[in-house]
Amino acid sequence: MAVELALQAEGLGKAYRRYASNLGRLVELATLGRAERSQPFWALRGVDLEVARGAALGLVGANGAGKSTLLRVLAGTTHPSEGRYRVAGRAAGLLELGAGFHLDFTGRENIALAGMLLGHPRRELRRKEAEILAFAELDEFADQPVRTYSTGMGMRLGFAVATAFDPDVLIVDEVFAVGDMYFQKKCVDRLLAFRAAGGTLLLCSHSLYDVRQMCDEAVWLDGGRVAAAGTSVDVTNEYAAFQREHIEGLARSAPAAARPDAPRVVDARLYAAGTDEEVDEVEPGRSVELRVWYENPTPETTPVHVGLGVLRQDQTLCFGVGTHLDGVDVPGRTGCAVLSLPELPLLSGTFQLLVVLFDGSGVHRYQEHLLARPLVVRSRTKELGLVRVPHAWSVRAGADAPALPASSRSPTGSSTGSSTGSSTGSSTGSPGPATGAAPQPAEGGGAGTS
Amino acid sequence: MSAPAREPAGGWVAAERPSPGAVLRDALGAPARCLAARELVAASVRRELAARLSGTVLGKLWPLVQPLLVFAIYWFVFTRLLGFRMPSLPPEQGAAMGVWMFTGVLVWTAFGEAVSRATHAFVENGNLIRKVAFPVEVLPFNVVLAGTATLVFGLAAFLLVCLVTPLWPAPGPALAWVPVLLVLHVAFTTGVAWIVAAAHALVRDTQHVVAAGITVWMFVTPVFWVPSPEVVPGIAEWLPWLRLNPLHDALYAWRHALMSGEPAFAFPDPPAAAVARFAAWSVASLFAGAVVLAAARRRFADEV
Repeated sequence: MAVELALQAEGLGKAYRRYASNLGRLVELATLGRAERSQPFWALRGVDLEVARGAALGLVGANGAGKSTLLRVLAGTTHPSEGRYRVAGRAAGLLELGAGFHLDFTGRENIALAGMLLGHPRRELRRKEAEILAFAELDEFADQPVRTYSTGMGMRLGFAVATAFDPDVLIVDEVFAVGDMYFQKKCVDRLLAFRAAGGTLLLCSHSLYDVRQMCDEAVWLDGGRVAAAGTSVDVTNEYAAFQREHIEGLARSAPAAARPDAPRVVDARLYAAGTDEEVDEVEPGRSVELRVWYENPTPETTPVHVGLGVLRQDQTLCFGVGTHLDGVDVPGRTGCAVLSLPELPLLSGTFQLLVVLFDGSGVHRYQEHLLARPLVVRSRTKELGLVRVPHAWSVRAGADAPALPASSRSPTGSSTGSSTGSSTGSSTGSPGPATGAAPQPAEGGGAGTS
Repeated sequence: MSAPAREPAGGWVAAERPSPGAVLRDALGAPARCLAARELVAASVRRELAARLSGTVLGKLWPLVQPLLVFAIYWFVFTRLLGFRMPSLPPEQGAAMGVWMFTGVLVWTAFGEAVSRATHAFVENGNLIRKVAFPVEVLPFNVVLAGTATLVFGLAAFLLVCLVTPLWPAPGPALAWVPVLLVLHVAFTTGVAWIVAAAHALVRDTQHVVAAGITVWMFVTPVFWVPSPEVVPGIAEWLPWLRLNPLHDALYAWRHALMSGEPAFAFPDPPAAAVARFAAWSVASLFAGAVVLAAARRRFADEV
């Protein structure tokens, strides 16, 4: 392999031992493990990783999926139970900010202690001290006990110490997600600078955005195993799609192999309308068509319908259509359903296209198929929002303007004053004397969005 | 951060149970790892000592004052109040029993306290062990060194008393044994500390076993009694057994150095043999501790 690997893992697994009783623990220890009394709990299993020097790998997954365990194993604080790994060069694990700090000692003393704990000689620490204090913005407080620091100050110091020593591989466990925006930005900048200098990064985060921004590749861990691996965009999309299903309480369709007779989506792709040119990036108003190739071994007993859901990245469903909703049949053992979307009305954004194969009633889902690439819409206009609604303006001044409704012309009682006020405020903002304050917030909101 | 000394760069770290050869190599490297981490150890010991003194008025005088008080109490209670005397002593050695007990307590405490405290060294630092990769063997070692520092202060206090009071003659050339004994004390205690700390990380009953064991050990060690038939009649038949205790030899050598071999009946043999036996015990203890640590270390992060 031509690529130089900074980090490599083969079949890595970690089992924690669970004992029914403390006596069992003693028996197992006394027999040097020959009389096994523990139940292994596999927090991690069968993980293969290859990270090239200078690359960045993101880890995503639910709580308890094994992300932290994997990072701990790779950082060398806990030992693997099966498989093996290796790290080329010096690895620094940033598993918890401020691990090893002593509250009674000053910031300066803690820098020295933590640095020595990480194996750095004292003279190197003296050289780095000023840089660490500068990054943590703690110059004034360097000789105060850490006990007197705010949470944010402690975190800054921890992050500064751990990243100060130019490791070859930096292993970061979700540590900067806790700070304020300013701190997060500093941390992200520092990690990006670390990468720019050729460092290898292993990052675990619940922020899919961070993973996408900082990592080229990503691994999705689920139940201690690799559920998906690939480019960070693909993996985070897949994970986000899974999360959405999970939240909605939908069972993911069983793999086709498990039920060979079940109808399935063979493939689904997006084309420029009427052509064989595949697209994944369009301007608003472009005409596209979705082709869904399906297989249905038993069309007589299991009629199917095809649907499409278009989701923004925050999982907002922009629109959903289906053959069952439009009264279209999906016949035959094999075929291709083509959905034309003339003049796509979406505005800028990245959208996931989720193809769903329904049963004849349109309730049960045989399969959900996420298009491999999300659809990116790049708008050139300055319209705001999610969709482009067909619209037209006409403005008439003076006597040509449509007459003001009677209800707005005569002032009403104070009990309905506020509702009247807000309705006038949201219109063209005619100066109603009784509700003089109402138009102001509406105008302020308008100014903010334009 | 993986300490550079622990894993060769680029080497595979595998899950397999280490072979006996690997455990042995790991064990033999333990003293070198402690030495490599000397700056960390020094800083930790200073911190430990500083923590005991922080906020006190006497500050750095306390390590000296405390043994002086203990000395005064032992001398007063046993020599003056209870009138414990060793038989047939010249008058200038009247304080022999007080000095005997004081030296015994001084050395014993440095050992016993270090072992008791080291028992918790891994468990108390569990968060650190789980979150930071560093040579964990320094944790019990730090505790032992802090205890040894107290011992050194106690020795200084004792010498001070010998020099400025007529209580006991100041030791002469025999003092040359003290550095040797200090090194052996650290080695022996560290070995025991590693074993109990590792055991406690795996089975939490250890602290109770250690507490009971230390008490029994103290009484079978001649801390408060003189292993001589002239003081304790009928002890002769037990002596071969009592001498199997490494600290029996250790205390003999310590007292021989500190008390200048007086009173003579309590020191029938030259100290070299006792030192040699204790040295053998120390090497064995250090080695056993390092082996236990090497075999058990991979489980610490999961157990503490």
